[in-house]
Amino acid sequence: MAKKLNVNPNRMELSRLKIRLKVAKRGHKLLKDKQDALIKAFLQKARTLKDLREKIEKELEECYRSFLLARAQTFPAMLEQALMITGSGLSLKMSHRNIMSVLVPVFEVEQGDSSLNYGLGTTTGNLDVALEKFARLLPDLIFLAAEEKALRLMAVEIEKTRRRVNALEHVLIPSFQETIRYITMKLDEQERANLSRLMRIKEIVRSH
Amino acid sequence: MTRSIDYGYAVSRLRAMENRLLDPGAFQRLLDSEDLPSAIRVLSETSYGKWILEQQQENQFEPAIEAELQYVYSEAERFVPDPGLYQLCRLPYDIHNIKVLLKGLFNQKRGGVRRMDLLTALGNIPVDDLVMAIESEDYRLMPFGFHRTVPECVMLWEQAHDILQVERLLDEKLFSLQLLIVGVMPFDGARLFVRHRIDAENIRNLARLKRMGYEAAQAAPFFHNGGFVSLDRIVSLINEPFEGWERLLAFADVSKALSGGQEHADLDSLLVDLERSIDDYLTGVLEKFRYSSFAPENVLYFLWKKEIEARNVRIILVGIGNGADKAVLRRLLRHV
Amino acid sequence: MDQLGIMLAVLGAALAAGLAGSGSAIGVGIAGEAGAGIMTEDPGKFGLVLLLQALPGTQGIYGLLTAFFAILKVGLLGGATVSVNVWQGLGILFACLPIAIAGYYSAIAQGKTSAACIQMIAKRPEETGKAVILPAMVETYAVLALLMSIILLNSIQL
Repeated sequence: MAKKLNVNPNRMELSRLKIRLKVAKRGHKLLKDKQDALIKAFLQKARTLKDLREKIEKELEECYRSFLLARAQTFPAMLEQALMITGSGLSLKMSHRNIMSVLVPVFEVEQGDSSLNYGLGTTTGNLDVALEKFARLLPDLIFLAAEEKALRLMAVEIEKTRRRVNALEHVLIPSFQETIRYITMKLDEQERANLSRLMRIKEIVRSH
Repeated sequence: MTRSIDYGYAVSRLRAMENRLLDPGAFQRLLDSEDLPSAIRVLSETSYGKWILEQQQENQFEPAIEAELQYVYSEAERFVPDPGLYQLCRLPYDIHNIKVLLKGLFNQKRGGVRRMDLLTALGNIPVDDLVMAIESEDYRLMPFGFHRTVPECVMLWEQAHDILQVERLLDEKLFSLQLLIVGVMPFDGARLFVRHRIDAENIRNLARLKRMGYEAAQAAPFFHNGGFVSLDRIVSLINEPFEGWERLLAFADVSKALSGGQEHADLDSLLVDLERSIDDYLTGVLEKFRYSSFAPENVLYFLWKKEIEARNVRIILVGIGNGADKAVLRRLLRHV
Repeated sequence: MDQLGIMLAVLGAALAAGLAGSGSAIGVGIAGEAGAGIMTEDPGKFGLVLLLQALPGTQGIYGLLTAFFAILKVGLLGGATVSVNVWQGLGILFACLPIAIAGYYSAIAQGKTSAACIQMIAKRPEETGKAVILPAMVETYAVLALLMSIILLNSIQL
């Protein structure tokens, strides 16, 4: 009887508890639905993200490979020197989107157009190729970051919902039910005691 | 006659120094090593060894490569009668240093960093002098005509804040200075080499600009004057498909660097090979002088070979350190 | 006038020793510079370098030899003085010219060849034999010139 709430067994409490049980059950159902929906969305997103991530990782590897070619063929200080000043700007706008009460970040990238910001004399052509590949990959990379963040936020939300559902399912609702049963039993007991007392009184009265 | 005999000592000395250049076998051993530490171990058995021993951190090879080049240049400086010959080879590093300092200066004005660590001692002008001149904005004493070029660069930047213009000016200077240096020396071979080099650089830039989709008018300022192929012709090539370049340039020697260009599907893969074939082509230009015992051009040949060797060592070590495919590395290696 | 013949003979001897000697000096100098270059990097090559450097030195010796013959002929080295008329003196002068001219130029040429061969042994120490033969070919013409000078000197009747 550990789950029993420590309340006075009276009708007032009983009706209050019954209302709470009803609310809890409805809440449980709603939360359960939300959880299911979230999990479904999560799995779907996770699956597409895995593909996206694999694709981007492959592209990134390609980028690094061509960058390696540039790196291998230039005096390292010259390479860094070439990249010291960049002329093109990059602006990042962040907003939020609501997916099932999860606030998911959305990034918008705007890349400046001029890509050539270094002299040709002290760099190799492979650098052009590598930088171009990186620039092309950047929006995808940021998109991936946003999506992965969303996924993580969703996971947290699922976790939270599940804890709530579990709390409702395994703690709150059983304890409500337990208490209600306890109170009903107690009330029945009282009624029976009352009845027997009344019967006894009746008998005493009749015997006189 | 006496002029050419001046190089008796220098050329013999260089011949002996050539013995210490890494041979194809050494490069093969480097390529065969499993990982970076073992590659560095192989390298430490060569002339780079003494510099590798000096490294504080393990697996560092860049300082060793730089130190070896530095050593070779300082040795050459001691026994080569005409300073122009080694100045020619060190000039790119001067340009690099100036770029570092100028960009640092511009960055600093915008609250950025100065990156003094990127300066190299490989240039002709001592780093301290260069820093002093640019920091104090007292450009008067800068050699090689930089006393005019550097203020011009600063002005260009102040006007437009376009680093590309500054870079272009300095790149242009790199080649016009090389022409100037060989102009005052009575060596036809050196002059030939610089002109071939300009041709090669123009072709390289042509391929890079073409790949980036530049129009002829936009691309024109990127090319350098003084080569065997006229600027007009180079600029007009940008509208041609690159498969045709070799045929259109067939009258010039530099077309040799483009041979095999047809095998490439696109400019990306062409670029990878182009840089190598251009270096090989320039090696070929200098190789002719190997057979004359007193030709001053042997100095250029040796220094060029050393640069190429350093580049090859770097390609292999960077490649092995990052687990690159050995076949790709082999394709990048310059001919030795 | 009778002294002029002797003086012409002396001029011949001086040209033979002087020109061939300076040629040798230049040649040995060229080879020596090249040798020094090699030895800066590899001091162990001293023996080979010395041999090759010495090769252009022979012309100087030939010149000296011819000069001796010439002055011996006119009796300046002790013995009875011979009377030499102008034509005989001129003859001796002309007889000295082959070794003077060929000695000078062949020594320089040999010096260059030696320098080149010194550079060659820097790369291929195992080819020393061939490296010595190449400059020695130049020697042939100095020897021929010496031969001619001596034959000519002998053929002049005093």
